[in-house]
Amino acid sequence: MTLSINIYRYNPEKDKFPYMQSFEFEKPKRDIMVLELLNQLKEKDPTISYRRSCREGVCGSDGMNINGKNGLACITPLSSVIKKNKLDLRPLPGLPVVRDLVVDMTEFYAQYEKIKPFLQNDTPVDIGERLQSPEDRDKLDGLYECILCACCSTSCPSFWWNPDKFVGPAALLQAYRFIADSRDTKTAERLQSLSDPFSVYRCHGIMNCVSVCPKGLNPNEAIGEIKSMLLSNKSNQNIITSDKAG
Amino acid sequence: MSTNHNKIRPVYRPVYINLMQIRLPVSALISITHRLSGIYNFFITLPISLYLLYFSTKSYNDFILIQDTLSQPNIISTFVTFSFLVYAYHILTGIRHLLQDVHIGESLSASSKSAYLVLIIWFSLSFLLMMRLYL
Amino acid sequence: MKGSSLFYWLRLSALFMLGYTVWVSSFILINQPVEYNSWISFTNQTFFQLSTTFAAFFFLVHTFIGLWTVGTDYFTPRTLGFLHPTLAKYADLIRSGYTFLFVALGVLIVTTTLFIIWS
Repeated sequence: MTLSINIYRYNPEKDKFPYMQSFEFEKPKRDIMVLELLNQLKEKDPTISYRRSCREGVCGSDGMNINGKNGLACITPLSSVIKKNKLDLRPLPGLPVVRDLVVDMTEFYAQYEKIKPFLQNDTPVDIGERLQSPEDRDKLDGLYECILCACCSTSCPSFWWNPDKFVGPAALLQAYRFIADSRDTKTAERLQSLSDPFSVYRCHGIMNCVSVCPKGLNPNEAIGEIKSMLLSNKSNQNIITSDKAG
Repeated sequence: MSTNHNKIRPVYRPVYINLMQIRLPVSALISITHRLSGIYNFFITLPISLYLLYFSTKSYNDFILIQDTLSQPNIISTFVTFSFLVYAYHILTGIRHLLQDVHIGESLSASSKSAYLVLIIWFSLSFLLMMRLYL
Repeated sequence: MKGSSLFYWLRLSALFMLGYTVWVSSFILINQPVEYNSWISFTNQTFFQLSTTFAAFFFLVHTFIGLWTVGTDYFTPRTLGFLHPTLAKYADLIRSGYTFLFVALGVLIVTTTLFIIWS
């Protein structure tokens, strides 16, 4: 059985516009991952470019659009995505294409940086580590597992239209990860920096993010929590005291 | 890597967004149709409603004309019924939105279930109203 | 503009208009076929006039927030640039024109409503 594989190609040094290149691929006897298929195609055509590293779904390098849906190539079985013996591989939507299936992640990382993805706590530590109860640690479940593969943010139409102003599901999930962390003391400042009309509020519950997350996370839920906290902060204006930097 | 911000990049880089190819789950379709129905309401349904309010309270004859026209199956009554159905759609998807604001139905499965529920309710309502008009 | 304020007002106006719509629709649906006299007495009551005035105000709030959001999503250099590069140059101008259009229309609608209700 022959499969028809179509790959998005674009070489800035040679091509004026991107195009789809077709390959014929003999359907393997045992099920393989999309990454394995790409590796085999690359043996035929070494110019195909894509990012990959761990091949086990933990590094987030090989996020791409597989038959219309974002996912990690290394943990996506061929059988789960092949449709009528056709497979279309395209780069993550919304981000500038560097070459073939490789996209420029700068805007995505810039939003991640913006939300200050590190613990902020200026209080002195007695014992050598900041203690956290198991109950408080449980609150981080579903938040810390993000591998920053960008499948969610690049599936979000709001992020397509305003990647510089709307922070996006991935970074917002991480923003909430630190807001929810009992060891972080700068909750008020974090919320203050998210209080403008664009950073959080471009989320309209489209839920593409939840549908594509390869780790099964729910950015929509986290964003909902941030919205609730911003709303209750609105009625308690005096809580926001410190820096005006927004 | 903050050094990336200063790197000089080529002027043109293509971006892939093809809405016909990218798979959109039901929640996404509900979201975009909610927006479109809102726009339709502002430009069409609302002016129609104002027109109806004005003439239905202007005089007895105007009232009867409106009532007769809207109870017969014709182009005008169909268009007006359709416009109010678009308003109803915006309201139904809006209620779903409000429930998600209070954290009801935020999981993936609950979200698609509520999406299908809204569609079933709306199509049933549309069917009922159109049947009532035409039969 | 605080994001939470826009969020709050969008929902508040929606809830008011929902209540208003249910109220007026119920009257029409329960009293089928509606008699001219009962419709006139319904729309002449002060409570109806006041509610409709509030509804008109909330309509303005709700639609302005919504349509502004639509404008800042689609009529931007980036999004219009996806369609055609020259559109990107005029994006801000197009958005200003669009904003003027819906603001003007909104004000017209509300003025007309107030005129109908109170005269």
